[in-house]
Amino acid sequence: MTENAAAGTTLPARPTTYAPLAVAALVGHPRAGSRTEKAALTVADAIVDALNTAGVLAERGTDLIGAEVAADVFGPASQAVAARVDRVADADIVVVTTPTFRGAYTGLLKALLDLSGRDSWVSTVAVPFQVVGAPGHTLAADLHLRPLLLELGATTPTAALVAEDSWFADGTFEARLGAWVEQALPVLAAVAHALPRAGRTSR
Amino acid sequence: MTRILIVSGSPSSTSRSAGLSRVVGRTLVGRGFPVAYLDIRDLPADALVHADATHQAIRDSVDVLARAEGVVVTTPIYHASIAGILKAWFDLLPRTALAGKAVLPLGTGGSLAHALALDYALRPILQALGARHVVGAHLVTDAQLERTTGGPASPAQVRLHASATDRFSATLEAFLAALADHRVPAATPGPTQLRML
Repeated sequence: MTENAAAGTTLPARPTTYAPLAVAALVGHPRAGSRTEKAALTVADAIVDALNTAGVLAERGTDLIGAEVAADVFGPASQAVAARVDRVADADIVVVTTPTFRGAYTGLLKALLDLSGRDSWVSTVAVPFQVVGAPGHTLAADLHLRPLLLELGATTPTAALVAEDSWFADGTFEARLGAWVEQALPVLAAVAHALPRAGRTSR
Repeated sequence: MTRILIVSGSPSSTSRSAGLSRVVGRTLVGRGFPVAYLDIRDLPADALVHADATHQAIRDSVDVLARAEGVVVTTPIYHASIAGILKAWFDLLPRTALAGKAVLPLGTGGSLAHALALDYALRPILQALGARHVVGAHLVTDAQLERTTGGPASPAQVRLHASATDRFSATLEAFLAALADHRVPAATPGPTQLRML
């Protein structure tokens, strides 16, 4: 094989017309209604708002709140949960969210992602979002969560989003999120549009 | 004699990972150690996924862990990390659940490509739980674990391939040496003694 395979590859042009980018949240907190869950939904909303403000069509996709399906993760109904995991991965951009337990993502998040179908995440831009109790755990997002997303085949072009518990108490989370979104937005939009959409199921 | 708890993090009772836990157990029993098994898949799934540390079965697992001086953790490698069900159990443990203990991390995987997952994904969690000494981790490939019967096998029907026994023995010896260190009483000087030195 002397042929240069890359020579025959045509990269997709930036689309002039496109379906709205779907932005969803996957939440690995074991308790429903947690602050982590609320924060995840806030992040997904903020990304949609910022994209639309920037003139890039975007809408909220179908979220998956892990605590709501946790009872079936290991049981005979795990196939149904697996379908929910694949469905959230069908979004263009997924905010994969976890609190920090034992310095890493939760067992529930890992159990959910263990159910992922082969190649479910290959066309997905994943945003690693970790809520930490103290700044000492900041690296968990890049040491544990991001490698897991990459192994699943997702693309993670942005900086990880890490929120400290105290930011919710002192009301600074929204402003800090705004700064992250401003920085992440161009690359989020560009990469989400560049990834192939073939093979996605309907949303 | 030192008690050793063998934790199996495999969600399946017939997996090679579950089989590996029995291979280790038989070897340690052969060396005269009292061994107990904890198969995470037997714990109530509801308590694991909702992080319910008050469930009696979870408390019992914490107690059996507390009584062990050495802990062997076996896990299949899924997506370059440990099994989710095992992490769910770690999430329920007291922060110092491994304090004072020697720990041996063992993994099973289809290939050696993910051997580093034990060091990057599992070891930091064991340290976060306060382990005294996490010895060198070891990944056993599926090909190195042979079933001794055809068809679905019980964990007892798995054995280590001859080509893997040397490395496996060395891993176990390092673990047993770390366990033995533990029995030297009060060998570690506290902060006050250090200042006096």
